[in-house]
Amino acid sequence: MMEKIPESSMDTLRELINIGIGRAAGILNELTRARVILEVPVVELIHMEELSCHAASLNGTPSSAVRIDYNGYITGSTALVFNTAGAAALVYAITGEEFEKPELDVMMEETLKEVGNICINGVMGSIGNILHERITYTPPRYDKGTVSSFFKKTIIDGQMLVIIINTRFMVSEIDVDGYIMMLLGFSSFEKILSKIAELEGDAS
Amino acid sequence: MTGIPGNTIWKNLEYLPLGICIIDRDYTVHFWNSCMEQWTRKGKGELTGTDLRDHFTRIKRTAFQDRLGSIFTGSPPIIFSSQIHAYIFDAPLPDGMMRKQQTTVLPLEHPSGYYAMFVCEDVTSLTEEIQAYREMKNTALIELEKRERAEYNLRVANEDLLAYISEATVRLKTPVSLIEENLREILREVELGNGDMEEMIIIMKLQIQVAATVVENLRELNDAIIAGKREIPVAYRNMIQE
Amino acid sequence: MNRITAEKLDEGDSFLVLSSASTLKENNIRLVREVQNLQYHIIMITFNQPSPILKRTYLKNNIDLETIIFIDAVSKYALGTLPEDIDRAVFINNPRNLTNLSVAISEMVKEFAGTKTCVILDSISTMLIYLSSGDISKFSHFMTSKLAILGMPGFFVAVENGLNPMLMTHLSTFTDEVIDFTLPAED
Repeated sequence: MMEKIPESSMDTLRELINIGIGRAAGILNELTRARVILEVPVVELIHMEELSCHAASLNGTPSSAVRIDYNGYITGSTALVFNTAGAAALVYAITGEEFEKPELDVMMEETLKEVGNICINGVMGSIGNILHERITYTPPRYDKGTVSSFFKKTIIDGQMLVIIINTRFMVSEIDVDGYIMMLLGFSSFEKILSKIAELEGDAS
Repeated sequence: MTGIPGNTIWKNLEYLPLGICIIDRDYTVHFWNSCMEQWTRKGKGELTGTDLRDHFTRIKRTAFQDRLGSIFTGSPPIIFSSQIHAYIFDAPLPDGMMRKQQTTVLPLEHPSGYYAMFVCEDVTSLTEEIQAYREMKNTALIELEKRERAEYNLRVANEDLLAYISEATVRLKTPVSLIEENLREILREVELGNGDMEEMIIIMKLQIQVAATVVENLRELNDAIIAGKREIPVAYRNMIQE
Repeated sequence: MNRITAEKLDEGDSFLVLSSASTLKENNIRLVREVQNLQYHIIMITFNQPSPILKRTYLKNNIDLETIIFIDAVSKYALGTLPEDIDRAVFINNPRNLTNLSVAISEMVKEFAGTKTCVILDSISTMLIYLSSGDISKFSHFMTSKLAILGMPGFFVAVENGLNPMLMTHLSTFTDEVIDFTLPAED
């Protein structure tokens, strides 16, 4: 199926995501005490079954995720995932506190939720702007486990695809790899592609 | 969630132990619950129908409004964590310090478009407890490190002491054996009638000197064990003093 | 191994000689005899017995005194003055004075360098009465190095189980071979 996706559509999708990440970086910089740089993301489209082996730096390691689910015009789930030690380092750097331990306490989980919220909203906002349709979102929640466990209970009818967005968070002297994972049903993904095609059609 | 001003659903939020505030895209307050009244000391009569930004400076900030703007188009909810923002609504505690708040803003569907519902949680106690826990943990870790260092030093001192005693006993054992051996030989020679007086005098004088040295070494060992002397390893001396 | 051979002496090896406390005197005589049989002169550094006593003992045991020079570390200390018999002997004021001892040894071995001469130190264990293991270890290292440069064989006598393990290890390292005189001589 993925071979049939035009490269130009993937490029447009990447551009939308890049705009969303850029917006998120801007918000993070305004809000926090530290200068936050988000690297230009690498965007890939994979099948759900390939998820575990694709996010290489997270494979098997304890991970922390901020996640929202949505339904309506499109149905799916989007999560921002870090390895837990990296997530802790990121939170300490953003709040300007001295690094203590590679773990998150309750307050730090909430802060990570906000960081995740900003990034996910950046990306979902970009995509939502081209859809112009009604989508209902759950509030962000914090999850810890492994990559394979995060979406275990997500049930979407039909074939599931994942858009993996790999970006690097650079704050003070640390840099942390983060993965935004958009889990979508095939029909939802087709709707997004269709809207992208409309955009391209209008542009040409 | 959907709702119309005065709707039963909103009325059910009145007595929740969370601060609830509902505004429209013009920031006009449509709902202000009892918890918010209590925390901010601003009654619903004062807030309802007015611009929320006129009452709370943090909400006036551009960065805040930029983020909030998307809620009125039905975006995903927005979180304001206490570690980054401390608080959104000015809600003083009895001691004058502001309540620390964790705030989630949810889009609320409405016939005239989306409203924004602020759900505000007081995390002051939680923050204090976590900070106290962190301090306690750091103190415990420092204590543990001190204790481990002290145990290590004690072990080293103990090893030094044992080495010192071992050395001291070896230095005592041999001369005492030699004194014994020399005196036996003198006795043997005398019993055999071979005793050379001059030779015996020299040997006995030497044994007296050796015995005196042994006594001196014993005294040194005694001093070392009780009070410590300059030859004693520092770690051992510290151990005695402790 | 408790046999001393001409080849080993000619190579200028140094030896740690183990003895029991009760046979220390007896083994001194045995060692001197074996070395003399191989036509070697001896520089005898004595901490154990005064040189006049040693001389008498050697005479009683038919040992040639003409081939032995003494560095006596105990007579003057024990008697408070030089003994009457000072022939073929150099006297150190105090067995604790390693500096004087080292100088005396250096002078003596320099004088006999190039000849068939060996050094016998009797004994390391007796030195422990006056000196710490650390000082003795350093001194032994100095001695073995000096003798090795001159190609002069050396014998360091010690009472078995009369040294602390660290000193024993050091001596075993500094010397080329350990000779066990607690066992009877091999014929």
